[in-house]
Amino acid sequence: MLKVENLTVEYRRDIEILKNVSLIVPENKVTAVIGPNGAGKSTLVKAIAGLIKPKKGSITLDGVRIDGTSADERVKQGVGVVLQRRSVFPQMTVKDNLILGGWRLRGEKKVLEEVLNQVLEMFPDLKQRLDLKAGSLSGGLQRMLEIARAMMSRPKILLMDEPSAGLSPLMVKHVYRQIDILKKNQLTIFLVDQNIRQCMEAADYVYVLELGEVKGGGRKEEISGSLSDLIKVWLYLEQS
Amino acid sequence: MLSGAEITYVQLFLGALLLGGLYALVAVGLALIFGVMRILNIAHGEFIILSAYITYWLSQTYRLDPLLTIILTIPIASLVGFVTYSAVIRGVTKSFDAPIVSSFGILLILQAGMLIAWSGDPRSIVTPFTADSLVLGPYLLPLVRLIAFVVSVLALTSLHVFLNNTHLGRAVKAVSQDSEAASTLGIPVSRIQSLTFALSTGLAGLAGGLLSLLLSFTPTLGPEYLLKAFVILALSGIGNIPALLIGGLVLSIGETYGSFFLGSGLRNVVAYIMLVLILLLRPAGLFGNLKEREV
Repeated sequence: MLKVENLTVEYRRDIEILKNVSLIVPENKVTAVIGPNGAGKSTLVKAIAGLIKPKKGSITLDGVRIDGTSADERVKQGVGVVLQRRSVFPQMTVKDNLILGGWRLRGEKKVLEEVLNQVLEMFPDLKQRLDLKAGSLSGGLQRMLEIARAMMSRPKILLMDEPSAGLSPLMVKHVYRQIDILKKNQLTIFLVDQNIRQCMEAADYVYVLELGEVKGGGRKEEISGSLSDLIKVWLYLEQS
Repeated sequence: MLSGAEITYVQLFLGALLLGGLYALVAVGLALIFGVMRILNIAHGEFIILSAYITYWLSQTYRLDPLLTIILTIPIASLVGFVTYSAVIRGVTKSFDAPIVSSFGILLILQAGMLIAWSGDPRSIVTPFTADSLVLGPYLLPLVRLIAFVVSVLALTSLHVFLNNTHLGRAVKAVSQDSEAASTLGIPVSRIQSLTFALSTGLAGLAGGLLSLLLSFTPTLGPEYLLKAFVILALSGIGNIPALLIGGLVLSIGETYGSFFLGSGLRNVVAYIMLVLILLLRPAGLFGNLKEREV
């Protein structure tokens, strides 16, 4: 379980992007954070991933505080990350990208091979393209590669920042189908996306973030009142 | 039957060809640091010259075989590079300009240090095989140049294999392409950058050691080798080791024929002209696409 408590992040002195954010990401569930542009969703993912240093607050994973560690150490602690922007290594092959994802297993050749095979079972589209340069893949397949690559470190939790960003509606469905497969494999997923409908469908728990503050959240079915109305308005706006 | 002039041209070509390998080795360290850290190490030439002096000093002081002293020079140069990076450059890598200024400072310190230690007089290493050549019909292949070429090509090939076939090498490439993404995979970016700097100065160590067997050197010769490295990188891009080798060959051939026809005093002018022409006519280099440059 991931626990974020009173997390405050500022980009410059006195400009707080996240204000006392607290939330819980239960094990083996999909927890989504939704909110409008500029709400601080990506900043939250980056802070959990160790790419941004918070001003205050704590982040614990399975009872161990991880907020003082660097991004690469956090991977060892069990955090996998899919960044919002394209982040495959374009000049390297699909296979090399995946092997790099298993960096922490590099000393255990057999285990690394096993994990690679398991990941390729989950991502059959990549299996046929192992020797292609990652930069030659379509946007959707590059996104799949990023997710598969993050899975290579055998994370306890996978952070996904806008997995549908910049993809065609068909590819968005494909990516969310993949998220469903990961969910069925008992992976804990922390998901941030502007595609509220898809996000709500995939999530077990939902938090609403606005202007850097958590407005509320909890089990999806139990969200009610003004928060539920707000989500309905966003869904309506997204549809229209 | 070949005429005397034809034999001379071919002989010049063979000499240039053998020098080209060393030139590629001179450039590869600069390319590594720039590719992985986006740092333009202005002091790269000084690291090469310092390594030539280390080789010279070891062979003179301990009466060691010059080829053996080159093997000792490589780790020493790596260590000097690692310490320099940790003390002077690592703290300022977030800016593009600051490392350039820092490395310029290193250039001045190394030059002054070498002038104090060894004076400004030209030095060179004479080996038992300095005057030996391999005879191929009417042509002579100077043994020292042949050794420098073979060692350079072997070093470049090993580096190519390292970067493409080992976990550490792939990590170096990953950091060069996207350091933030690399860190989210668990790759210790800062350690990889330190290692790259040490590797780069180790390669400068090898280049300097080989240079000390081929040519005479003075403490102020560093910028000349930096210029050569710039020309080769402009020709080849920074991402492709076989292309660097071709770039090294093109430069050495250009310099050799240029100095033959225009006079040896204009050797560096030929390199400058080549640099300007490449930047004007083919800014992406001989092989390339600007977007596809990598380590």
